Amino acid sequence: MRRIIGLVIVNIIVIAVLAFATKYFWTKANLIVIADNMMLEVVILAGYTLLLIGGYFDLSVDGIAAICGVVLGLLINGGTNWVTAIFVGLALGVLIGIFNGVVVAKFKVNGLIATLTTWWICIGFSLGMTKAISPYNFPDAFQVLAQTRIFGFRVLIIYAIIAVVILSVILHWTRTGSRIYVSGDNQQSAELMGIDTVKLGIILYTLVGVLASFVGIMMASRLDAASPSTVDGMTLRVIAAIVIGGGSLSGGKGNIIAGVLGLVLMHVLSNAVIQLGISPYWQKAMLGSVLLVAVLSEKLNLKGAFKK
Amino acid sequence: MNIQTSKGFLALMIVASLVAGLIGGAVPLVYTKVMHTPEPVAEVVEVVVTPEPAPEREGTYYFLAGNNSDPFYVDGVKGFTEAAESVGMKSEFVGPMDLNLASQMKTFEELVASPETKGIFWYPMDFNAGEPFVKAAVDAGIPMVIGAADSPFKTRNAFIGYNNTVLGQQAGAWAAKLIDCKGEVGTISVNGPNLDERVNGFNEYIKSVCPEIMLHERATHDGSAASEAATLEAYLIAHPDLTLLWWADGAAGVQAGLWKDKQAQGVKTLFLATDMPQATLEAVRDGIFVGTVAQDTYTEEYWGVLLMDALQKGLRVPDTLYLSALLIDKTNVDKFLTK
Repeated sequence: MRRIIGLVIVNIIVIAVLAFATKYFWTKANLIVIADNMMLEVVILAGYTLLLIGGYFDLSVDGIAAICGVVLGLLINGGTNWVTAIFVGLALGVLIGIFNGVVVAKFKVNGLIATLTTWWICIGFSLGMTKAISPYNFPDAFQVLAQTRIFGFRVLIIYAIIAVVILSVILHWTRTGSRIYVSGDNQQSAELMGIDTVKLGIILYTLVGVLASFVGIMMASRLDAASPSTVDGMTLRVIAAIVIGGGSLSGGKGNIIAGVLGLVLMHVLSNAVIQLGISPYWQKAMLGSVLLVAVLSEKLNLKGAFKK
Repeated sequence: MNIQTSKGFLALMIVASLVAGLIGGAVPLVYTKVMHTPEPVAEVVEVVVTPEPAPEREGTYYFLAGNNSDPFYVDGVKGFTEAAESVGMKSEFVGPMDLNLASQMKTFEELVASPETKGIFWYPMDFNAGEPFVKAAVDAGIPMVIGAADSPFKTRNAFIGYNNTVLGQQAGAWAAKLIDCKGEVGTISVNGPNLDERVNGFNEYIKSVCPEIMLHERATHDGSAASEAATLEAYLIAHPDLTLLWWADGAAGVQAGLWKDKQAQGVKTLFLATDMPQATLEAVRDGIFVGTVAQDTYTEEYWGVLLMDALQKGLRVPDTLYLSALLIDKTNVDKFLTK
């Protein structure tokens, strides 16, 4: 809770500064743009938080999103009905997730190297199948899935809310959630308590796989193009956001809402460099510095304040 | 095969990779058919490729680039491959799929050391980092031709490509004409030395010819479709009165759908693209983009191979060959679209 309050305060301070310092940051249109571009990452973050808390790691998310989007795009362009193509895309995400889960949880291959190879294979297939030319020009009915607007926001915000609510409930109010925390904190103890950590690991990887395929499909719908480099870098941003939100890379700790607040901070800062007209050469330095200050200030200053 | 060990897993991955390679090789290559011209706009001249490949010779010509997953390279690789076939040499497109300089340099070093290498055509990511390998290649007698942006060191054998400053100036001149020297102008691209030169040329030209135009700082994206979309949308909010936006790298086509959506919402900003992937050309045809400043990479890479081949045969070649950009708008886009 302390972490959430700290991140809320940091976000408010950064947003307030930007609202005063720039002309267009604090406008409805800009806030919608920030939200729209963040929501698919929120969907992944919700599932990825469970995976990380469970003590697992997955680098293949960008690749799964890419290959599922590309397969869907090629199928639609090849004449397949878009509904069928969506099911094929989602099924592919499930299969890759199960594969990751079996390799890591059952056969105990290091999650980092196992999912790194899955990522490469997925990206390789995406590029090989498309020769880097994104399939595009999809049916209007398919585009509606990500482009419909509700109160000005893309419908993606609804998907994100659904993912966050359902997975938060599972994490905090069900036995499965408790098992995920216990398993990530100490796998041996969890097994002694009768928790099937292998099954749990496979389920978590499958969850991330299906969410990643959903993201790839929604990106194709949103842009009307299925790029093989659709969300490159998303995995690391999501992991960074979860860690900013108090998650631990070694498992057992983490919170979806805190992770979302970390992601908000990152997207606000990305938007800020454009609003402030910061030179492209300095953008990453500025982003990294502000994030570092945010994490450290939350860690050092607020700790004392909340002890009182 | 024991999959429960790391060795077993490695073996599984190797088998999976082999299957991937076989399937990848079986997938037919679909290229955009584009006609090429040495002249800007005007008449289009099709490069005629030798119908029968020459007898195969020993060695390989390598096209070393960066961010190789970018659709920008499709035409260039086609030109490179066809030119190599026409002189009986094998060819290969190599380099990192992202903007990973270390990876490009590692490949560069490996190419210079390999006896298979008979010529290197390099798209530089960093002139300083690549200079030792350029020198090493030339010292080893490997023809070394640079494309995209010329190195200030001039130790290579030859350069063919676009003067990026001039390309930026051409885009600037066109942009100034399109908006009658009035309003606000912005730019978006990935980072890179060629893009820096291009955008600087664009901005300097507009400043000198149309001092009343307000120029905004360039926004950069990381090369992924998601990052491009987020950058584009945020840039429009930051500059709501933007009269014209120049997308200075070749990735604009993927954003055509998003831009169409913006136009439907009432955005009046003119969108000037760069290069000519099919999606970009279709967006020009449909009036989504006002035009595109295109590099004819097919011709660049085709002649890049011929330069290497001439050097391989001990012939003298020109030090520098500049190509001119194509200005493609609704009036001439049909000449470049795949039928």
